Amino acid sequence: MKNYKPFFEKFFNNQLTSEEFEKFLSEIEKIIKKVFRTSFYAQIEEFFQKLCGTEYLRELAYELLLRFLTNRDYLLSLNYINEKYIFSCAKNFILQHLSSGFKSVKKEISFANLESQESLEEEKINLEESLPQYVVDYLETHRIYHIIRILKERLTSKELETLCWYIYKQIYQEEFQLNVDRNVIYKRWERLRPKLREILREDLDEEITSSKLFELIRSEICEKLSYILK
Amino acid sequence: MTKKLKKDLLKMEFADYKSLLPKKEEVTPVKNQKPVNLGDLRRIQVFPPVYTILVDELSYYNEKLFKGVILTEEVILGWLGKTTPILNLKGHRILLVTQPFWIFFTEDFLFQYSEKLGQVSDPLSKKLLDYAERKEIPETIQGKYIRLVMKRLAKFNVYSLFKFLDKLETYETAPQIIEVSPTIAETLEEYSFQKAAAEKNVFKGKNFLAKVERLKTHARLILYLPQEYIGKKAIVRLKEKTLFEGELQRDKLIIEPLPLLLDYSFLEEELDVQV
Repeated sequence: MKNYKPFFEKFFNNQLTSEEFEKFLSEIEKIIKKVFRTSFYAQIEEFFQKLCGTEYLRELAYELLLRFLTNRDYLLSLNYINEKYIFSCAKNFILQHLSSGFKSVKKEISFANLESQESLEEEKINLEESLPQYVVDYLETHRIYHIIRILKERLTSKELETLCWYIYKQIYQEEFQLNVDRNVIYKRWERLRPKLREILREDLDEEITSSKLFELIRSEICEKLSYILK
Repeated sequence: MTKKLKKDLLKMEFADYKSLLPKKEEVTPVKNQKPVNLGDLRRIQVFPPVYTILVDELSYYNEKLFKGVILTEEVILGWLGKTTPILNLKGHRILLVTQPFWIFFTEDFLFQYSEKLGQVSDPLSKKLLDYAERKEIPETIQGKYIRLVMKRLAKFNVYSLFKFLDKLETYETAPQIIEVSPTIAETLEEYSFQKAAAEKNVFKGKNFLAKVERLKTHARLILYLPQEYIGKKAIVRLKEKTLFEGELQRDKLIIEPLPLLLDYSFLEEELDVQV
């Protein structure tokens, strides 16, 4: 994998020619684009587009370079900087942006005088008391998808049917169509309960919005099952 | 929500993280060394970076040991729900997520190998410590990630404790030696089959540091107590049995003989020093 370290060194020392700088910037843009595609919903990319205009990738690339600049000493301590690491920084940077409530730091960015710029002064750091709801939703949804994945892996198809039957009955007051005798399904549910408790023990705590979990079980498991059952 | 995102992102994130890790963990010295203080937010110079906020300090003589709550940039893997504290480093443009554990660092290690990025207030550092102590590590992929970060840092933790105790040795105070009766050894027999998970020999209790020394025929426990305890009446108990009761003449106590066991981790829980 390509080592970007020489690019960073030249960038920090203001030694990139304008062509090299342009190339560096466009590679960073590509990485940001990839982060949007793989790790975020399309709506999030659209938000940025609305906020910064069609040049949103360029603007974000500039800001990401600013992040690299304020964390310069750390980057220079590394022997090797590959695309994966830039990808990981870009992902964190986008989440940081989202958590700051989309406030773009629309400062005039001057890369003309890089060597003379001091590393960032120490910050006074505060707790992000209330993450914006869309960030909480984003993080929560991933946790729930992971739980659903675990359920699909660890429960048999009969057990999944039973789970759907229970959720439809208890949560949605609807009937989940099953061609099984009522007594049989109650017995199945009794057997499933401890297993479910064991699987969800760690995860189904007060921290997960249960309505969202049920909704996703319904759409990701039950609706697909009932399609097969029909 | 796009269909695309329905894949298990947590699983992907964990694979990405593991693929970043170098074969051998290396820690590099920082260029810009700054004095270490409580409340510091520091980036440990490993790759990928790990962050710590210093929430407590222990000092014996001129040596300081800091307790640091760990934070990482892996927000998606480290976020365990709405109670997980998140810090937004606006100037550095980094979002950090608090991990449910802490480790020890010597002052010297932090000074040499970590970069100071900022400072947090007292109430905030208490909040972070509270989270680190209370929050359980889940048995999911997120738990696997957290345990992997712990594993990455474990050697610095052990290194710090050993280094710290080694330095204390150089102060050469003659210890107060306490011989315990053979019944104590019997009390500990139940631990003789305990599995040695980490063969831990160094511990930190509420108000003491302890080291177990293995000799040929038996083991001995060396306790380091705060200097201000000297001259005070103290009770040292192990599993409800009193090992020592009386005035402390030194801040270093040696308790012997103890049976040779594979693992002494239980001491952390079962040993109690009251002054």
